[in-house]
Amino acid sequence: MYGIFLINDAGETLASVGWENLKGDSALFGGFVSALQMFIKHISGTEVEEMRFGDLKLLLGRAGENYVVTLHSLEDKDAKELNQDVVDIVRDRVGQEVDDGFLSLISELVQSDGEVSEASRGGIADWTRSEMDRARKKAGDWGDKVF
Amino acid sequence: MELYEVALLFLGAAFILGGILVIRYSASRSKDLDAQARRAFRPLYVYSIGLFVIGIACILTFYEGYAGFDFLPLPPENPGRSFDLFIVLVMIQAIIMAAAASMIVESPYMLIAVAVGEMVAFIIFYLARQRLAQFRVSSVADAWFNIATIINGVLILLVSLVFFWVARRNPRGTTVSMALTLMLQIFLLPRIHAVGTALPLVPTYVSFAILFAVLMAPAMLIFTFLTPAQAPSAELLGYGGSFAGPALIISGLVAAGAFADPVVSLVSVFGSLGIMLTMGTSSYLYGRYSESKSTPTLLFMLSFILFAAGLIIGLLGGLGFLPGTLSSYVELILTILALTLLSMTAIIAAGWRSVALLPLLLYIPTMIFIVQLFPTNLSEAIAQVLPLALATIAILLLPIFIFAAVGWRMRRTHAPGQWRPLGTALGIALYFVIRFPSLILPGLEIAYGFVFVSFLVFWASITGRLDKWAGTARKVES
Repeated sequence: MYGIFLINDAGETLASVGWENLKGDSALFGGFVSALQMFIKHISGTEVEEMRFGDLKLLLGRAGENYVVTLHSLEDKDAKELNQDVVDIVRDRVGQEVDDGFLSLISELVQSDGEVSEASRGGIADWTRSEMDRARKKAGDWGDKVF
Repeated sequence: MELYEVALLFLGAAFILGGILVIRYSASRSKDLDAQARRAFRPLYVYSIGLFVIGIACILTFYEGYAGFDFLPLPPENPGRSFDLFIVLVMIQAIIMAAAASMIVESPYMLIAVAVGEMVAFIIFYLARQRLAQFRVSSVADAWFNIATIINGVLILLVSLVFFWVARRNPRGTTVSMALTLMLQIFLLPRIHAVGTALPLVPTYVSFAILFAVLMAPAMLIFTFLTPAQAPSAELLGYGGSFAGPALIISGLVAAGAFADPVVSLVSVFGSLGIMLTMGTSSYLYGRYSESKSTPTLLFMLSFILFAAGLIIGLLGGLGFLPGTLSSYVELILTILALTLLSMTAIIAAGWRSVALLPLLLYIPTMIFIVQLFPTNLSEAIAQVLPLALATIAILLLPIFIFAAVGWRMRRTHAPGQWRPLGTALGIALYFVIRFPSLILPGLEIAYGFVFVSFLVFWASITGRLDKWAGTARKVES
């Protein structure tokens, strides 16, 4: 997850973390998201949940009156789950102030879980693969000696 | 008793003999090595212990079926026949084989995984048996049995993977048959076998074919550990088949209760030995043909395949397991074609290539005339076309004289390998003397047993054993 943006119905960007991964003014981004959601709601009655551009994607979720927008790479398989985690945390903060620092904290919190499991998953797969390769080689060596 | 249960006796014997040969191979190969190099042979010893365990499991299970009781009913009060002892011994064997595999790959994980997996499978299996003891009929217990079987099967496949890795880098008869023997064992698991016979989608002959493959594997193991230079080839499959075919035929006859009659028992045992020798000879000839690509060897091989097929059909027909008249006709067609090919081989070998097709030209019309008379009794049918039949028989007797003359000339000049043509001539002569009266006169099914002698002579002469015994073998021969 590259960034989190909290935007209200009026199109104001209340807080953001990770804007450095994009170009331009983060204040304009809030206006764009809010306008887009209003327009889509007007023509179809639904809201945009995902936007893709280049090798990035934006996931849009609703936390009360606000939109929670998260920025991910296209390959991020856990993107939906991470977005939902952030939405849940922000929803629990209703009535309390959410600033850049808080978003940064959330960003670290939700990603650390995933990273650990991802790392361990990768570790087990790598270990199994290397153990299989080693066993295959040993089996061949043994055959050379005995037959 | 079921075919499967009877076949377990043959399998058990083959597994145990295989185990003995693996030990013999390891001992002879490692005897001149230092202690460090000798350690590499330890997995082979462990593998042979695994073979002994599965061999004992097969034989005890056969005995359970024969005597109608269980050595190890789980839990003890559980009534009815089951395969509890077999399943438990297969689980133990899988752990032993995993130990061998772990020693090969020098890592304990395989052993740990299989040991833990088998323990889980045993607990599930035991709980299922307990449930069955309580409720008599239980689909839950059934599902648990299936789960335990799947775990067991997967673990056996996992262990055989290591032996396939060995075989992949060292593709020899020994390594391939070791891996196959272990892998095909999963088809022996009672539940997996039952799927083969119980599902309406799977015809009987598929489960028959699977049993055939399972029987082939230890036979291949035995053969390759007797002759370790054997490459994994169709020849090796033929050797496996030459055991599996007769073993299945005898199992089928026992399962059908044919062995109550001592004459039938003797005829089928000797007839099956004849089939084994014929298939063994054709496999040997295939091996020689794949090296030399010579036409006479090919014709020789084809004629022995036809002999084997004819003998199988004739034996089963003669004993009443196939429609009698039809099988005698099919046997006649196959056997006379085999003799025709032998006759052609002799004519080519004598250098008269231009008339090599003559036996075939006589064979075809004779057979057409005889087949048209189906379902007349065979002896009557032959009597109706007697002049043509006599001409065919005369040309089929020709190879006896040609091979005898060649052998005699070699004997006079003390040429090595003289017993090959002499033995072939003797084999054909014996075949005529033993088989032909029973082809024409009904009620002589006993000849299927005696014909074993002729195939023994064929096998011993063609594979060079007669020369070896007579001390006239070529120097380069094995």
